[in-house]
Amino acid sequence: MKYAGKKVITMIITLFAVTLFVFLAFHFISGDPATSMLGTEATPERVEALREEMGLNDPVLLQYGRWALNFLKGDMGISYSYRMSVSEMVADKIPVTVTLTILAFLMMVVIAIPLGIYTAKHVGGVIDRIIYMINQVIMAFPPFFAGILITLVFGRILKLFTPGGYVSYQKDFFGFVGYLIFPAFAIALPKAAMAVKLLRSSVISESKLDYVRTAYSRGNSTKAVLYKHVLKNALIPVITFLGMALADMIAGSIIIEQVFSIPGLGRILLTSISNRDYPVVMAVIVCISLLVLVVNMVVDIIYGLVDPRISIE
Amino acid sequence: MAEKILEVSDLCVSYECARKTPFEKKKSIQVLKEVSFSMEKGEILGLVGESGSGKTTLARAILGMIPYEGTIIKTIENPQMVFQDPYGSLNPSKKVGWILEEPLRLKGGYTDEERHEKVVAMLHMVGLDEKFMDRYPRQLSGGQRQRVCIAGALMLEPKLLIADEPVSALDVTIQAQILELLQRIHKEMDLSIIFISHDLRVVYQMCDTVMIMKDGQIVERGTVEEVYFNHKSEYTGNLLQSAGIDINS
Repeated sequence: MKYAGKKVITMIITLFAVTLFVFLAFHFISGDPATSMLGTEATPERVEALREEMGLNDPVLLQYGRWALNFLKGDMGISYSYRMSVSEMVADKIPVTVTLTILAFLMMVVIAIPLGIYTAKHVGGVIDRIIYMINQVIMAFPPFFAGILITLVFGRILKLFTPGGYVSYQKDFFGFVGYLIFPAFAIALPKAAMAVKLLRSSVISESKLDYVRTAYSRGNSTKAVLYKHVLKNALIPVITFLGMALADMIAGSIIIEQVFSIPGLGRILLTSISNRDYPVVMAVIVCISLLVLVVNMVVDIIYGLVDPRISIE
Repeated sequence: MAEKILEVSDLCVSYECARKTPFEKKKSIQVLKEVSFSMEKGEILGLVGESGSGKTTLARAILGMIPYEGTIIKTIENPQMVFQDPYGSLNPSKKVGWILEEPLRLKGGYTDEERHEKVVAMLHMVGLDEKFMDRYPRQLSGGQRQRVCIAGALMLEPKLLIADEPVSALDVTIQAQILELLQRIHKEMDLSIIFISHDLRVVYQMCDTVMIMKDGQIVERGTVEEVYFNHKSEYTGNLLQSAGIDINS
């Protein structure tokens, strides 16, 4: 429990550092928000009045404090280009990206763990070699290319879904999930290939250790040695990888959302970057990093449960 | 004449070499060449030879862990083995209690309390106590780990223990303690031991009889006194000489 508490505190500190960094970076990049809101023809007096009203003449750290506090309250500012609350714009995009990532993660685990164990058990067999070759090819795929292929095969040829026919989760949740399965598959595929390879080699190298020999000499069957002794130790590096992959998937979904025209966080991030809509960009960056940090924290806590050695130290 | 517990005759073991290309012919190396010997109850047999001479292979064949040709007649049940490296031979993610209970669980027929009692008794037997049940292997010293390994091997009260270089990974002071422990359980549990080692001094101290191996064959077999003071083969002489035990000259 102490270990989990430590992880939560680390996360909060990291989040503070990330938000401060994001705020300062945009403070210096974005120029004067008052000018960009009023347009270039506004009189200097009006700009100055708005600057005072928006608190832009205060010290930077005070501005950060106000921004962060508002952020915690759920007020992320006003979008320059849409003149609407950023919180509202972001709020209904988060479930889309989160669902996409969770689906992709589940697919990766469901594909990778059984295949990894199977190939490790049958090293050098025909199926192991075939999977090995397919793996090498898939790992080299960037997810957007996998996305294009999946659109072609499942959308155009097999007609399992309508490319571009995104269904909003507010209208039809199952239709929404049904559509997201395909982009999720595109995100999951390259990561699953890596996880299979990692789990396979982890099980193989773990099986060479002396305690496995001891386990056999105590009269364990091959199956018992694998499931009771080897697997738990072999999964430790794989869990680290899965955690990193999940964090990576959140970021990776930005591109896949473009390929499958899904209106998620990635979509508004890209449009608001090209519109120089900095409040939205900042909000999306903070949301994404918050998601990544939470994922990392959960992975660390699970890691401590699986491997007692970590929480001891 | 004591009762024979182990009789090995014409034991051959060969390993297949990994092929570099699928077109290569399958090659195999013969690791044991027609090994024959027998062992009596209560004997501590030292098995000596340089690396690659087939000592460990012989042990694994006796335990039935690898395929072999020839006959191995064991009149005792489930011989057990203690390995060289006490650091690697315990599962890092299991507690000592779990590790020691495992043989009992696999055999079955014990209640939880019986298993617990047996584990506690065995921990005392090897000079540890019940505090160790809740510890992970990495929290133990090398000597303590080797004691846990020995305890694990003894859980089902085997009549034959094969100790494969059990002390060569340990400090000299710890070595002496572990050897003492092995001698004590030899007496208390009526145990026969095959003691594999390349350290002729340790073998002299520990064993009743010695078997010298070279290239998968037995070069010499006899009591410690016979082999050390009156050896027949030149190879044994060389071994003794290079170990600094030059008794004959």
